[in-house]
Amino acid sequence: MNSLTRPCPPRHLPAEAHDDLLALADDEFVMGHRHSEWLGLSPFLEEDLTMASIAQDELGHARALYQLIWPDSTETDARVVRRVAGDWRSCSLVERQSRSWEFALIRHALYDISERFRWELIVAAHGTLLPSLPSLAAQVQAEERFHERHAIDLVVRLGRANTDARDRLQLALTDLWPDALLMTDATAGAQRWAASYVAAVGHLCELASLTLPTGVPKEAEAALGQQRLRRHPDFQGVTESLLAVFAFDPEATW
Amino acid sequence: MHTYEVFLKPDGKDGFSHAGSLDAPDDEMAILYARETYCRRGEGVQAWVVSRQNILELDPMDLAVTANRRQGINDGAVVAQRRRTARSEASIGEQK
Repeated sequence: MNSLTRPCPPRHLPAEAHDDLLALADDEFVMGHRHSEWLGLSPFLEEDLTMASIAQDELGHARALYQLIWPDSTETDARVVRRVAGDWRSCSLVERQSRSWEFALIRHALYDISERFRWELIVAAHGTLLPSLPSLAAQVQAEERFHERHAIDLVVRLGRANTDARDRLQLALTDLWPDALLMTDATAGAQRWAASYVAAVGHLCELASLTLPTGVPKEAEAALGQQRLRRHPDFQGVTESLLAVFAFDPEATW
Repeated sequence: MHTYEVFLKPDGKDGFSHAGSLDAPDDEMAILYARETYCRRGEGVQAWVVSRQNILELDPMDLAVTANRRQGINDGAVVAQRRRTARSEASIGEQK
Protein backbone atom coordinates (compact mmCIF):
# COMPACT_ATOMS: atom_id res chain seq x y z
CA MET A 1 0.00 0.00 0.00
CA ASN A 2 1.35 3.43 -0.84
CA SER A 3 0.17 6.90 0.14
CA LEU A 4 -2.38 6.96 -2.69
CA THR A 5 -4.20 3.75 -1.88
CA ARG A 6 -6.90 3.33 0.73
CA PRO A 7 -8.35 0.28 2.46
CA CYS A 8 -11.38 -1.17 0.71
CA PRO A 9 -14.67 0.20 2.11
CA PRO A 10 -16.33 -2.33 4.47
CA ARG A 11 -18.57 -4.92 2.84
CA HIS A 12 -22.24 -3.98 2.94
CA LEU A 13 -23.86 -6.86 1.01
CA PRO A 14 -23.79 -10.60 1.78
CA ALA A 15 -20.51 -12.11 0.55
CA GLU A 16 -21.83 -13.82 -2.59
CA ALA A 17 -23.77 -10.77 -3.81
CA HIS A 18 -20.81 -8.54 -3.00
CA ASP A 19 -18.38 -10.71 -4.96
CA ASP A 20 -20.68 -11.12 -7.98
CA LEU A 21 -21.51 -7.41 -8.18
CA LEU A 22 -17.92 -6.35 -7.64
CA ALA A 23 -16.66 -8.66 -10.41
CA LEU A 24 -19.12 -7.07 -12.84
CA ALA A 25 -18.55 -3.52 -11.56
CA ASP A 26 -14.77 -3.78 -11.79
CA ASP A 27 -14.98 -5.35 -15.26
CA GLU A 28 -17.24 -2.52 -16.43
CA PHE A 29 -14.99 0.10 -14.87
CA VAL A 30 -11.71 -1.20 -16.27
CA MET A 31 -13.28 -1.93 -19.68
CA GLY A 32 -14.63 1.63 -19.77
CA HIS A 33 -11.20 2.95 -18.88
CA ARG A 34 -9.48 0.88 -21.56
CA HIS A 35 -12.00 2.01 -24.19
CA SER A 36 -11.47 5.62 -23.15
CA GLU A 37 -7.78 5.30 -23.99
CA TRP A 38 -8.81 5.38 -27.68
CA LEU A 39 -10.20 8.88 -27.31
CA GLY A 40 -8.74 10.86 -30.20
CA LEU A 41 -6.84 7.83 -31.51
CA SER A 42 -9.53 5.71 -33.17
CA PRO A 43 -9.06 5.19 -36.91
CA PHE A 44 -11.79 7.62 -37.91
CA LEU A 45 -13.99 10.24 -36.29
CA GLU A 46 -17.25 8.29 -36.16
CA GLU A 47 -15.48 5.37 -34.53
CA ASP A 48 -13.79 7.71 -32.06
CA LEU A 49 -17.13 9.13 -30.94
CA THR A 50 -18.66 5.67 -30.69
CA MET A 51 -15.79 4.26 -28.65
CA ALA A 52 -15.89 7.27 -26.31
CA SER A 53 -19.62 6.91 -25.90
CA ILE A 54 -19.35 3.20 -25.14
CA ALA A 55 -16.57 3.93 -22.63
CA GLN A 56 -18.86 6.46 -20.95
CA ASP A 57 -21.68 3.90 -20.77
CA GLU A 58 -19.44 1.26 -19.20
CA LEU A 59 -18.16 3.70 -16.58
CA GLY A 60 -21.76 4.70 -15.86
CA HIS A 61 -22.76 1.06 -15.37
CA ALA A 62 -19.79 0.57 -13.05
CA ARG A 63 -20.78 3.62 -11.01
CA ALA A 64 -24.35 2.36 -10.60
CA LEU A 65 -23.04 -1.02 -9.40
CA TYR A 66 -20.54 0.55 -6.98
CA GLN A 67 -23.41 2.50 -5.45
CA LEU A 68 -25.23 -0.77 -4.81
CA ILE A 69 -22.06 -2.36 -3.42
CA TRP A 70 -21.10 0.54 -1.14
CA PRO A 71 -24.25 2.66 -0.72
CA ASP A 72 -22.83 4.51 2.29
CA SER A 73 -19.55 5.47 0.73
CA THR A 74 -19.60 9.23 0.31
CA GLU A 75 -16.60 9.27 -1.96
CA THR A 76 -17.27 6.40 -4.32
CA ASP A 77 -14.88 7.67 -6.97
CA ALA A 78 -11.95 8.00 -4.62
CA ARG A 79 -12.72 4.82 -2.71
CA VAL A 80 -13.00 2.82 -5.91
CA VAL A 81 -9.87 3.97 -7.67
CA ARG A 82 -7.77 4.10 -4.51
CA ARG A 83 -8.25 0.45 -3.63
CA VAL A 84 -5.08 -1.64 -3.58
CA ALA A 85 -4.66 -3.92 -6.59
CA GLY A 86 -5.53 -7.00 -4.51
CA ASP A 87 -8.95 -5.55 -3.63
CA TRP A 88 -10.05 -5.37 -7.26
CA ARG A 89 -12.00 -8.22 -8.87
CA SER A 90 -11.66 -7.38 -12.55
CA CYS A 91 -10.50 -10.00 -15.06
CA SER A 92 -7.42 -10.05 -17.27
CA LEU A 93 -9.46 -9.57 -20.46
CA VAL A 94 -10.28 -5.99 -19.46
CA GLU A 95 -7.04 -5.32 -17.60
CA ARG A 96 -4.72 -5.93 -20.52
CA GLN A 97 -3.20 -2.95 -22.26
CA SER A 98 -4.47 -2.45 -25.82
CA ARG A 99 -1.79 -3.45 -28.29
CA SER A 100 -3.53 -2.28 -31.43
CA TRP A 101 -6.87 -1.19 -32.76
CA GLU A 102 -7.78 -4.75 -33.73
CA PHE A 103 -6.91 -5.89 -30.21
CA ALA A 104 -9.25 -3.25 -28.79
CA LEU A 105 -11.98 -4.15 -31.26
CA ILE A 106 -11.82 -7.91 -30.65
CA ARG A 107 -11.81 -7.31 -26.91
CA HIS A 108 -14.80 -4.99 -27.26
CA ALA A 109 -16.64 -7.79 -29.10
CA LEU A 110 -15.60 -10.51 -26.63
CA TYR A 111 -16.57 -8.34 -23.69
CA ASP A 112 -19.88 -7.06 -24.96
CA ILE A 113 -21.06 -10.49 -26.10
CA SER A 114 -20.50 -11.60 -22.49
CA GLU A 115 -22.72 -8.84 -21.18
CA ARG A 116 -25.65 -10.37 -23.04
CA PHE A 117 -25.53 -13.13 -20.40
CA ARG A 118 -24.04 -11.55 -17.33
CA TRP A 119 -26.70 -8.97 -16.47
CA GLU A 120 -29.49 -11.49 -16.75
CA LEU A 121 -27.69 -13.91 -14.45
CA ILE A 122 -26.83 -11.30 -11.87
CA VAL A 123 -30.49 -10.23 -11.72
CA ALA A 124 -31.55 -13.88 -11.38
CA ALA A 125 -29.06 -14.38 -8.54
CA HIS A 126 -29.48 -11.11 -6.61
CA GLY A 127 -32.58 -9.32 -7.92
CA THR A 128 -34.58 -10.26 -4.83
CA LEU A 129 -31.94 -8.99 -2.43
CA LEU A 130 -31.47 -5.75 -4.41
CA PRO A 131 -34.87 -4.50 -5.64
CA SER A 132 -33.34 -1.76 -7.78
CA LEU A 133 -31.09 -4.19 -9.66
CA PRO A 134 -33.67 -5.41 -12.24
CA SER A 135 -34.50 -1.89 -13.46
CA LEU A 136 -30.81 -0.98 -13.58
CA ALA A 137 -30.12 -4.13 -15.58
CA ALA A 138 -32.95 -3.35 -18.01
CA GLN A 139 -31.53 0.10 -18.69
CA VAL A 140 -28.00 -1.25 -19.02
CA GLN A 141 -29.05 -4.05 -21.36
CA ALA A 142 -30.74 -1.56 -23.67
CA GLU A 143 -27.38 0.19 -24.02
CA GLU A 144 -25.38 -3.03 -24.18
CA ARG A 145 -27.38 -4.35 -27.11
CA PHE A 146 -26.11 -1.38 -29.05
CA HIS A 147 -22.50 -1.95 -27.93
CA GLU A 148 -22.67 -5.56 -28.98
CA ARG A 149 -24.17 -4.70 -32.33
CA HIS A 150 -21.46 -2.13 -32.96
CA ALA A 151 -18.65 -4.58 -32.12
CA ILE A 152 -20.14 -7.45 -34.12
CA ASP A 153 -20.97 -5.33 -37.17
CA LEU A 154 -17.45 -3.99 -37.33
CA VAL A 155 -15.70 -7.33 -36.73
CA VAL A 156 -17.82 -9.03 -39.38
CA ARG A 157 -17.13 -6.34 -41.96
CA LEU A 158 -13.39 -6.27 -41.30
CA GLY A 159 -13.20 -10.06 -41.16
CA ARG A 160 -14.65 -10.23 -44.64
CA ALA A 161 -12.88 -7.16 -46.00
CA ASN A 162 -9.48 -8.56 -46.98
CA THR A 163 -6.85 -10.98 -45.75
CA ASP A 164 -4.80 -8.32 -43.98
CA ALA A 165 -7.77 -7.25 -41.84
CA ARG A 166 -8.79 -10.86 -41.26
CA ASP A 167 -5.27 -11.90 -40.22
CA ARG A 168 -4.97 -9.02 -37.78
CA LEU A 169 -8.32 -9.87 -36.19
CA GLN A 170 -7.38 -13.54 -36.00
CA LEU A 171 -4.11 -12.74 -34.21
CA ALA A 172 -5.94 -10.58 -31.70
CA LEU A 173 -8.61 -13.23 -31.17
CA THR A 174 -6.04 -15.99 -30.62
CA ASP A 175 -4.22 -13.73 -28.18
CA LEU A 176 -7.33 -12.73 -26.21
CA TRP A 177 -9.44 -15.86 -26.24
CA PRO A 178 -7.87 -17.50 -23.12
CA ASP A 179 -8.56 -14.26 -21.21
CA ALA A 180 -12.14 -14.23 -22.49
CA LEU A 181 -12.71 -17.77 -21.23
CA LEU A 182 -11.35 -16.84 -17.81
CA MET A 183 -13.75 -13.90 -17.60
CA THR A 184 -16.58 -16.34 -16.81
CA ASP A 185 -14.68 -17.43 -13.70
CA ALA A 186 -16.12 -16.34 -10.34
CA THR A 187 -19.16 -14.55 -11.75
CA ALA A 188 -22.88 -14.98 -11.06
CA GLY A 189 -24.05 -18.24 -12.67
CA ALA A 190 -20.59 -18.93 -14.12
CA GLN A 191 -21.32 -22.49 -15.25
CA ARG A 192 -24.61 -21.48 -16.78
CA TRP A 193 -23.28 -18.87 -19.15
CA ALA A 194 -19.84 -20.19 -20.09
CA ALA A 195 -21.17 -22.62 -22.75
CA SER A 196 -23.66 -20.13 -24.23
CA TYR A 197 -20.89 -17.57 -24.36
CA VAL A 198 -18.53 -19.84 -26.28
CA ALA A 199 -21.36 -20.61 -28.72
CA ALA A 200 -22.14 -16.92 -29.22
CA VAL A 201 -18.49 -16.07 -29.94
CA GLY A 202 -18.32 -19.10 -32.23
CA HIS A 203 -21.25 -17.70 -34.19
CA LEU A 204 -19.47 -14.36 -34.59
CA CYS A 205 -16.35 -16.18 -35.82
CA GLU A 206 -18.40 -17.96 -38.47
CA LEU A 207 -19.84 -14.67 -39.69
CA ALA A 208 -16.44 -12.97 -39.72
CA SER A 209 -14.46 -15.88 -41.24
CA LEU A 210 -12.40 -16.20 -38.06
CA THR A 211 -11.34 -19.36 -36.27
CA LEU A 212 -12.06 -19.78 -32.60
CA PRO A 213 -9.00 -21.27 -30.89
CA THR A 214 -9.76 -24.57 -29.21
CA GLY A 215 -8.71 -25.53 -25.72
CA VAL A 216 -7.49 -23.37 -22.89
CA PRO A 217 -3.73 -23.01 -22.29
CA LYS A 218 -2.56 -24.90 -19.19
CA GLU A 219 -1.50 -21.79 -17.32
CA ALA A 220 -4.91 -20.25 -17.91
CA GLU A 221 -6.66 -23.37 -16.70
CA ALA A 222 -4.50 -23.36 -13.59
CA ALA A 223 -5.74 -19.85 -12.81
CA LEU A 224 -9.39 -20.98 -12.65
CA GLY A 225 -10.96 -20.15 -9.31
CA GLN A 226 -8.40 -17.46 -8.46
CA GLN A 227 -8.41 -15.59 -11.72
CA ARG A 228 -10.12 -12.55 -10.20
CA LEU A 229 -7.94 -12.53 -7.10
CA ARG A 230 -4.83 -11.48 -8.97
CA ARG A 231 -4.17 -8.71 -11.42
CA HIS A 232 -2.66 -8.83 -14.86
CA PRO A 233 0.71 -6.98 -14.93
CA ASP A 234 -0.88 -4.36 -17.24
CA PHE A 235 -3.34 -3.44 -14.49
CA GLN A 236 -0.76 -1.24 -12.81
CA GLY A 237 -1.06 1.14 -15.74
CA VAL A 238 -4.78 1.55 -15.08
CA THR A 239 -4.44 2.70 -11.48
CA GLU A 240 -1.35 4.73 -12.24
CA SER A 241 -3.15 6.80 -14.82
CA LEU A 242 -6.28 7.08 -12.67
CA LEU A 243 -4.26 8.23 -9.67
CA ALA A 244 -1.96 10.55 -11.60
CA VAL A 245 -3.81 13.64 -10.38
CA PHE A 246 -3.86 12.45 -6.76
CA ALA A 247 -0.14 11.75 -7.05
CA PHE A 248 0.49 15.22 -8.40
CA ASP A 249 -1.76 17.04 -5.93
CA PRO A 250 -3.42 15.03 -3.15
CA GLU A 251 -5.74 17.95 -2.34
CA ALA A 252 -6.95 18.42 -5.90
CA THR A 253 -10.69 18.72 -6.40
CA TRP A 254 -12.58 18.83 -9.67
CA MET B 1 -16.50 4.55 -47.06
CA HIS B 2 -19.62 6.41 -48.15
CA THR B 3 -20.90 9.76 -47.00
CA TYR B 4 -24.31 10.04 -45.38
CA GLU B 5 -26.43 13.02 -44.34
CA VAL B 6 -28.27 12.91 -41.03
CA PHE B 7 -31.57 14.67 -40.30
CA LEU B 8 -33.13 14.92 -36.86
CA LYS B 9 -36.63 15.73 -35.72
CA PRO B 10 -36.78 17.12 -32.18
CA ASP B 11 -39.70 16.36 -29.88
CA GLY B 12 -42.64 18.73 -30.53
CA LYS B 13 -43.89 20.50 -33.60
CA ASP B 14 -40.59 21.25 -35.33
CA GLY B 15 -39.83 19.22 -38.41
CA PHE B 16 -36.66 17.48 -39.53
CA SER B 17 -33.55 19.53 -39.95
CA HIS B 18 -30.07 18.73 -41.12
CA ALA B 19 -27.82 17.63 -38.25
CA GLY B 20 -24.64 16.95 -40.22
CA SER B 21 -22.89 14.28 -42.21
CA LEU B 22 -20.81 11.20 -41.49
CA ASP B 23 -18.74 8.52 -43.21
CA ALA B 24 -19.61 4.84 -42.87
CA PRO B 25 -18.80 1.64 -44.77
CA ASP B 26 -22.47 0.85 -45.46
CA ASP B 27 -26.08 1.64 -44.53
CA GLU B 28 -26.20 -0.48 -41.41
CA MET B 29 -23.07 1.07 -39.92
CA ALA B 30 -24.28 4.53 -41.00
CA ILE B 31 -27.33 4.07 -38.78
CA LEU B 32 -25.12 3.06 -35.86
CA TYR B 33 -22.76 5.98 -36.31
CA ALA B 34 -25.63 8.45 -36.79
CA ARG B 35 -26.84 7.61 -33.31
CA GLU B 36 -23.40 8.09 -31.77
CA THR B 37 -22.47 11.14 -33.78
CA TYR B 38 -25.65 13.22 -33.69
CA CYS B 39 -28.21 11.87 -31.20
CA ARG B 40 -26.46 10.60 -28.12
CA ARG B 41 -28.20 12.96 -25.72
CA GLY B 42 -31.81 12.80 -26.81
CA GLU B 43 -31.44 15.51 -29.47
CA GLY B 44 -34.10 13.89 -31.61
CA VAL B 45 -37.12 11.60 -31.46
CA GLN B 46 -36.75 10.62 -35.12
CA ALA B 47 -33.72 10.49 -37.38
CA TRP B 48 -33.25 10.06 -41.09
CA VAL B 49 -29.99 8.89 -42.58
CA VAL B 50 -29.65 9.46 -46.30
CA SER B 51 -26.83 8.30 -48.50
CA ARG B 52 -25.42 11.35 -50.24
CA GLN B 53 -25.61 9.37 -53.48
CA ASN B 54 -29.40 9.48 -53.19
CA ILE B 55 -29.58 13.24 -52.80
CA LEU B 56 -30.63 15.20 -55.88
CA GLU B 57 -28.79 18.46 -56.14
CA LEU B 58 -29.94 21.55 -58.03
CA ASP B 59 -27.53 23.28 -60.35
CA PRO B 60 -26.08 26.20 -58.32
CA MET B 61 -26.29 28.35 -61.47
CA ASP B 62 -30.05 27.84 -61.51
CA LEU B 63 -30.16 28.98 -57.89
CA ALA B 64 -27.91 31.99 -58.54
CA VAL B 65 -30.50 33.44 -60.92
CA THR B 66 -33.04 33.63 -58.12
CA ALA B 67 -30.76 35.58 -55.77
CA ASN B 68 -31.75 38.99 -57.10
CA ARG B 69 -35.28 38.45 -58.36
CA ARG B 70 -37.08 41.57 -57.12
CA GLN B 71 -40.39 40.73 -58.74
CA GLY B 72 -40.52 37.53 -56.68
CA ILE B 73 -40.26 39.35 -53.38
CA ASN B 74 -43.31 40.96 -51.81
CA ASP B 75 -42.55 42.64 -48.51
CA GLY B 76 -46.01 44.27 -48.43
CA ALA B 77 -44.61 47.83 -48.66
CA VAL B 78 -46.76 48.89 -51.61
CA VAL B 79 -49.98 47.58 -50.06
CA ALA B 80 -49.10 49.11 -46.68
CA GLN B 81 -48.55 52.50 -48.31
CA ARG B 82 -51.89 52.29 -50.13
CA ARG B 83 -53.70 51.44 -46.91
CA ARG B 84 -52.05 54.36 -45.08
CA THR B 85 -53.08 56.72 -47.87
CA ALA B 86 -56.62 55.37 -47.88
CA ARG B 87 -56.90 55.74 -44.09
CA SER B 88 -55.64 59.30 -44.05
CA GLU B 89 -57.96 60.24 -46.93
CA ALA B 90 -60.90 58.70 -45.10
CA SER B 91 -60.13 60.62 -41.88
CA ILE B 92 -59.81 63.89 -43.80
CA GLY B 93 -63.22 63.14 -45.32
CA GLU B 94 -64.74 62.64 -41.82
CA GLN B 95 -63.32 65.97 -40.54
CA LYS B 96 -65.00 67.79 -43.37
